[in-house]
Amino acid sequence: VTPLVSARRLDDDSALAEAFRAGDERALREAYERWSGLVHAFCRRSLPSAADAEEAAAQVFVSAWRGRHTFDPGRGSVCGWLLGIARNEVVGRHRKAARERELRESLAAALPRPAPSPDELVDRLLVADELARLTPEQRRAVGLAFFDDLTHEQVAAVMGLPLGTVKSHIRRGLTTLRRRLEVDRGARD
Amino acid sequence: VHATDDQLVRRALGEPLPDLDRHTDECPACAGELAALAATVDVARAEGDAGLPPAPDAVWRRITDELGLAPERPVPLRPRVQQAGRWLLAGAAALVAGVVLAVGLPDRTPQTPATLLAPVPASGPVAPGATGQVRLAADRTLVVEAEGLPAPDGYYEVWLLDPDSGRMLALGTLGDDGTARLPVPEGVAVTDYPTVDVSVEQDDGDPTHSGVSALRAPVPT
Repeated sequence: VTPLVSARRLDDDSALAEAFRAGDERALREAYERWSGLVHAFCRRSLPSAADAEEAAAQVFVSAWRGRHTFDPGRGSVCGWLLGIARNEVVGRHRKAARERELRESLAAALPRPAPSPDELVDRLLVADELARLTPEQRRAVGLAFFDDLTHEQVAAVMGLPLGTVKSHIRRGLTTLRRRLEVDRGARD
Repeated sequence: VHATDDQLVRRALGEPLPDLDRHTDECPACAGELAALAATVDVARAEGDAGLPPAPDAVWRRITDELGLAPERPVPLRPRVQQAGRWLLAGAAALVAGVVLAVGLPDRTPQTPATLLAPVPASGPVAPGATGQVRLAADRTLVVEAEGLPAPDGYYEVWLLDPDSGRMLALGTLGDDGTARLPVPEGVAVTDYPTVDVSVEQDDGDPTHSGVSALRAPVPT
């Protein structure tokens, strides 16, 4: 099979989406490489057992691959699409578990409600994933400001960087996180 | 006059800015910006800075089983970035000293000009600051000399790979000094593999590429 696009171009999101839709297996590998951590983390936190989470995460990629012709780049990113599939997968498993439990116990068992909600969880994991993709210096600056509650001036002092550089790292970092949330939120009911 | 980005970011992070609060009370545009930034900060703070662990290898195996695909690991076009964070910390702990002097070794005149090893990927590399070179000796030995690699949590392995097709060939491991002389197997055309890749491997019994690349160089030809 002749590859449709060169592997390097797959770095580009729209090229990845196009290759994925066209059935280029390397696009599946690349999508897995980029987003399997995110998808698996979502499944793991939403489902009670590690084995279920592995099965569900794999099923997300299998369903995406089999339904690749249904992916509409106009309606969102590949990452957001995968997360939408992951949500459905998790919800379906919860429903099935609840049905089985009802049959067994013949009383309305409460769903094992994941806290936070799937939407919140998707948001949190997206941000965590994007944080890990910032440049090391940006990430450090953002981390000090976000998690250690340091002011811009304190971050500059801790990192030994000019205040202007720190301001720009934090502003760009926060903007990047926000954009990722806006672009990649999974399909929501 | 609208609020500056800097003011909005500071306020979103929780700094008290009474003047800005007075402004956003009256300006829906700035209030909207501030709300979006503050929501992002809240989400980030709820999750913390732990990063996401990579999916277990079993997930990829299940996918390839189910779809009937070749089970090679994904080509590491983009090493898992979340591992880079750990590597940065590890890097501070110890640096592997670079080149060993080839005193007493037989003279192997390089058959090819050396190519340069560079950290991958360009942003958020596993081994920022690591360098080195690769050359092909006259006896078809690939000579790898890397410097500045952090002490690995595992070991470094040298591969020939073709990022476009995903074909790859493990040549051997890098010594503690960051160097290795690795014979290229008879019958293998190095030109089939445009890239020399140095990966970080765990002693986990899995002979395939971990997906975590530290350095790459064009294959010397």
